[in-house]
Amino acid sequence: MIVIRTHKLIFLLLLWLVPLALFGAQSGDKKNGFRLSNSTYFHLGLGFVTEYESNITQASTQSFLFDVTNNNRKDDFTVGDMVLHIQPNTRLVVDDSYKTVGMSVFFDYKRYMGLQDSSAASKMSQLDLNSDILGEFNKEGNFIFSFKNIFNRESAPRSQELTGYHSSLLETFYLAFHMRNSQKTMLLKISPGVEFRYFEESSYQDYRYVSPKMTIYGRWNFLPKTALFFNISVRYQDYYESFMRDQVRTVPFNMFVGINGQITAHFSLRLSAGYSGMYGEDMHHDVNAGVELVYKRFDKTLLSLGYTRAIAPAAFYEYIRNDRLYFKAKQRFGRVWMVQLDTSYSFVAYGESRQFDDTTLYTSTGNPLEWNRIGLPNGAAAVVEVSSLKKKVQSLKVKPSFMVNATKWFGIKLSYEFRWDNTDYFRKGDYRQAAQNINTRYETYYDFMDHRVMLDLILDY
Amino acid sequence: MRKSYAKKVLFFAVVVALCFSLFAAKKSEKDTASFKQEGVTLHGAVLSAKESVQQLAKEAEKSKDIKWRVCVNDVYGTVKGLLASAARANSQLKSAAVLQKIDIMKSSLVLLRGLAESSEKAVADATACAGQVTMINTKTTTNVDENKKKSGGGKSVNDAMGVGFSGDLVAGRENGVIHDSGISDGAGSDAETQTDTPDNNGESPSMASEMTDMITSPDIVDASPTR
Repeated sequence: MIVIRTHKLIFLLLLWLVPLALFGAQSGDKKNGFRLSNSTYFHLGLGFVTEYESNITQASTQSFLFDVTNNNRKDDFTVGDMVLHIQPNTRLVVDDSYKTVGMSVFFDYKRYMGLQDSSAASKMSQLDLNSDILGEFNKEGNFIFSFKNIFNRESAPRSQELTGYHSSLLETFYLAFHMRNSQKTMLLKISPGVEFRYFEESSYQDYRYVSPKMTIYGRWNFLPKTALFFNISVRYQDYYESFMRDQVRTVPFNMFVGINGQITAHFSLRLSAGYSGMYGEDMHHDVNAGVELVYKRFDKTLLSLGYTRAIAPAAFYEYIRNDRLYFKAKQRFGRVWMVQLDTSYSFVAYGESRQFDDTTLYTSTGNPLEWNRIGLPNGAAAVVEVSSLKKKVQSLKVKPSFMVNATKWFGIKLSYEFRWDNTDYFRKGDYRQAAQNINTRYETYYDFMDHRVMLDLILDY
Repeated sequence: MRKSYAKKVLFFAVVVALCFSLFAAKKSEKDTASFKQEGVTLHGAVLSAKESVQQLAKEAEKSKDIKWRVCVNDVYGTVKGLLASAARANSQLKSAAVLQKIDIMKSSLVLLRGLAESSEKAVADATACAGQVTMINTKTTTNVDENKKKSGGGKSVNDAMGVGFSGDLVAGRENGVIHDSGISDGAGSDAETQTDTPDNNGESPSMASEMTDMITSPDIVDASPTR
């Protein structure tokens, strides 16, 4: 009986899929959206995403918490859960040859179902949002002005213990002045901006920052699809509420030159390299690099193999350096099907930790990797030990996905994501409070595995 | 005595006059040949210019670049007119040479010189159409157009690197993002740090999102290790 039903199901599925493959609609066939004028369109969208994640906090299985007083040990902090996303969104775009002006609001209500930990449902269900405002003027001219504002709220239990859930607001605004010659072969872009990141939870206030920045970019197309370019970027990253503000605020500087674009009929290449520096209390000088080989065959096949090395500022470390190797593949079938594979391997090296520099919070125990935590409320005392002052993490990601346009305004995507972080870095210590008879020991590790399976049903008109 | 003296002077004058007229006739003959030769040369120059522009028009036709074709065809029409005028002026010059009408020959030559000069400029204009269409017209305005042979039409590097490859798939889009027009055409090379090419049209490159997502995990006991 079950077999017959399965056959029926497969038959019905084929009945739907075969005509779809033959006559399915690409959204590019005709412009989606409600037309308000010749150049103004209003778009509405709604997404339903069902997701299962095996380790929502990306916790290590090695971590434990031991209540010495009550002789109670908790070992496994991994929690798997089902998450339902409901994503209403809207966009308004005015686009003509002179200008593009647009704005969008995207909501993402995440409902954790509490499959393994019922408290997760109420603790972690949140409303995230993303909003863009964009303006570009005199697009066909020699002097082009544009601006963009991005406001984003993201809540995530990633890399946190269960009570360490964080929500951050990220506001980015930048202007861009483009100058190009009449032949449009040369372009110079000067783009000042500011970025502001605010963590809502006070326990994460050390991560809050404000960052004015400036990028100067230039390119010269010496062939139709190939350009030489340079990029100079500088920002002032100020963790304005950090207890060690003077130690961690920094001026990251990046400069690189390269070549970018087509080299044969189907192959394209990017080669670039340059200098990165962190000018803060300590100076750090480094090399940045980027290599990417792209194979593109018509609009059916796209393969990218690349390597990047980049430096970024960090709240508790001198810097973060990421050496990343990646491979991406996209293959389209028929008019509306696509399979995709994203893989990457990152080697993330943190600069020396700044966390224990403040002698009003930490005092040495004699061991260079161990400190007494002082100034805790209610006479509490704690000892913290780390495996190293320089954290190193290897991260592997594999994400195959499969998507289809059922109609020009309705898409389906099925995807799986695997992430494995490997590091021998750990923190351990104990926490004692005599008044309440608390005596706990803990060890926190940062290696983990995480599996995610997602089914997206996306309506976008 | 006086009579004989007068005869001698008269004879001498006749001889001198004959010499002058013979010399003048020789010079006129030489001028006529020279004018005719110059006329042929100038007409040939205009003809050669017409052939050059015709060749450019054929190339423009093959390229299917409408703007280029229109521009060259416009110049080609002009140069054909110049050639017709040059042929007429040269024919007039030849007729005048037979009739020894030096004035007409001279005016024909002046006309031919002007036509040859114009045809030379026409070739320069037609050549300019192929790349930077730079034409200085009678109103002395300069029109410079995009060099698509080099710029590739404005989004060429993005296209070569695969930006926007699956942008038409509804489920492949980035959530709530208003895409820019790709003015920078840098396939992510205009980002602040080294990063991979954006996956879809305007979507944040993976490296960029990773770099902003690195929040160090705090200890289990302390929600924040610093508090």
